[in-house]
Amino acid sequence: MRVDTECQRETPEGVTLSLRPAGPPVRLVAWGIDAAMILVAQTLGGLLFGLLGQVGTGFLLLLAFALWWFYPVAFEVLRNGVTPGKALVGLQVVHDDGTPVGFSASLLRNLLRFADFLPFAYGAGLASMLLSNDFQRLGDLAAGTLVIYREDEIRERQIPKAPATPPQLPLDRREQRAVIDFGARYTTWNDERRAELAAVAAPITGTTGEAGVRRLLGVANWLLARQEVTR
Amino acid sequence: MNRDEFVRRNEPTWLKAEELLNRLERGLKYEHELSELPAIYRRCCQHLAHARQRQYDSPLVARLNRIALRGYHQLYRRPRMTIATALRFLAADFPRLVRAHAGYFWLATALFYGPGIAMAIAVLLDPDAIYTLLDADQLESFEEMYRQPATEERGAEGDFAAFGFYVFNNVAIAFRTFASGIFAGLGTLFFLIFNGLFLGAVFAHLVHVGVAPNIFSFVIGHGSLELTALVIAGVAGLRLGKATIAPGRFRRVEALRRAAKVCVQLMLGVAAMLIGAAFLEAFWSSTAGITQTTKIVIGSGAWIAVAAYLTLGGRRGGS
Repeated sequence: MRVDTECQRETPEGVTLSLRPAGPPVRLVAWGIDAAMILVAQTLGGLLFGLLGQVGTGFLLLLAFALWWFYPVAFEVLRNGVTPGKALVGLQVVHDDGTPVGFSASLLRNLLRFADFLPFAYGAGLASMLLSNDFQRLGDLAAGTLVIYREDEIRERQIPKAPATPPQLPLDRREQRAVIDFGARYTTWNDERRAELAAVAAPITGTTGEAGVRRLLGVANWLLARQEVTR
Repeated sequence: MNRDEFVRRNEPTWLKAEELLNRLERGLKYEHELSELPAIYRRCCQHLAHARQRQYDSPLVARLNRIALRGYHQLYRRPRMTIATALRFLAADFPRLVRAHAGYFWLATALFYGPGIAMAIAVLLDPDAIYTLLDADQLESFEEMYRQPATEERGAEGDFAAFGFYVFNNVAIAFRTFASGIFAGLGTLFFLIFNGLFLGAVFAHLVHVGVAPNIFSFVIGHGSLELTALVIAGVAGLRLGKATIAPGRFRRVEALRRAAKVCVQLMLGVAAMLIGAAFLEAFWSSTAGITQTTKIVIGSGAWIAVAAYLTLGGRRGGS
């Protein structure tokens, strides 16, 4: 069963890449920023072209047309799936196989934006996002695209050293991974949170509280050390 | 090899990969760097697989995943459209595509012109019928527009403003007609029928008011491109709708995706046709220097040309 939003795509090299599709709230923010930029560009265009009389009117209408229909397409195709709004919140549009979005897919998803907007305020798009597996609005479904988070948290953290302790129960791979991740993220929590999380692993450490935290760190160290030995 | 050793040994490769990717993503492309990337990318993929297999910590795996993903983005691009392929598309592929959808085309034609003609007849029989669609103010402005034959007064600048408006308005109508087809084709039905009714009503009303030569000489020039493009947008919308109602042997999403791939090409052709139409509408149809007879003759020729383009375009050269 899927417990998170991550989805896996296999590359021709036989490696699976993890993509994290973005949900409606963050995409709404990105859209808001883009819409604001379009309005600003349109206003500036209006001021500039206002000086040119009727020719200016013509240019302004062409600009408005280009902005409302093709602003996202231009950025998505030329900037690797990233519009300014998406850049600010760290999103990116990709094909659903993980490749960068191309012209035809980008055009399609942005033409269908009109359908997603119906009946009002992106109602259809929101419904589609909530019903589909990977937060795809109608345009994404038709174009075969995903909106994913661009930056994974990649700062590496040292696991604090603690005397290696074997777990009191045999652990499968996922559990081992969870314990190691506990060690890796240890420094990002306060003491209460550490204790709270370590309490979940009480069957492994046999204790709770401060001692449980230290024991669990010890298990993480033990697991890492054992990896080192077995390789 | 333990984790730290793994990192110590391979970190230079990752740093190199990240640096290369940073530069490529900023658009700095040099031959020798491009040729280095595949090898480095594959090595990072291998490291990612190792890191996953050995259950290394999440941040490390995430970093490698990110490198692999970015490398994948750089290496596996789909071919970009060039001017040559665009021209080829307009000259041959687009008319072929329209012909491949002949059934949809005639259906959309019927949905657009049928209500239009019916409405026109209704308004000619009973001029008050027009008030079911438009109010008096709107009618007033239409009458105003066509009361006089096209005159010189607008000038080249006004022509350009009109061009902007036609692109802004007409292309958007076509785009909406297409996009709303995703709702089982209903939106497309609505836009085709509504626009048909509206145009039929306005035409008939202007004929009734007695300015028929003005409007016909105005519309016939660009109408061939504009109305046909709208019908083709309808074709794309109906095709999309068909995929959602009757996906055939595919999952609905898959059927939609396949249909959409074709539809987007149709819409590219539609956009090109409409921009051509807007050009004609602004700079030819409303020009005062050309007699109405000339406009009607050339305009009829344009209808024949559009028909010939769609029926004959791309027939030579096989496939």
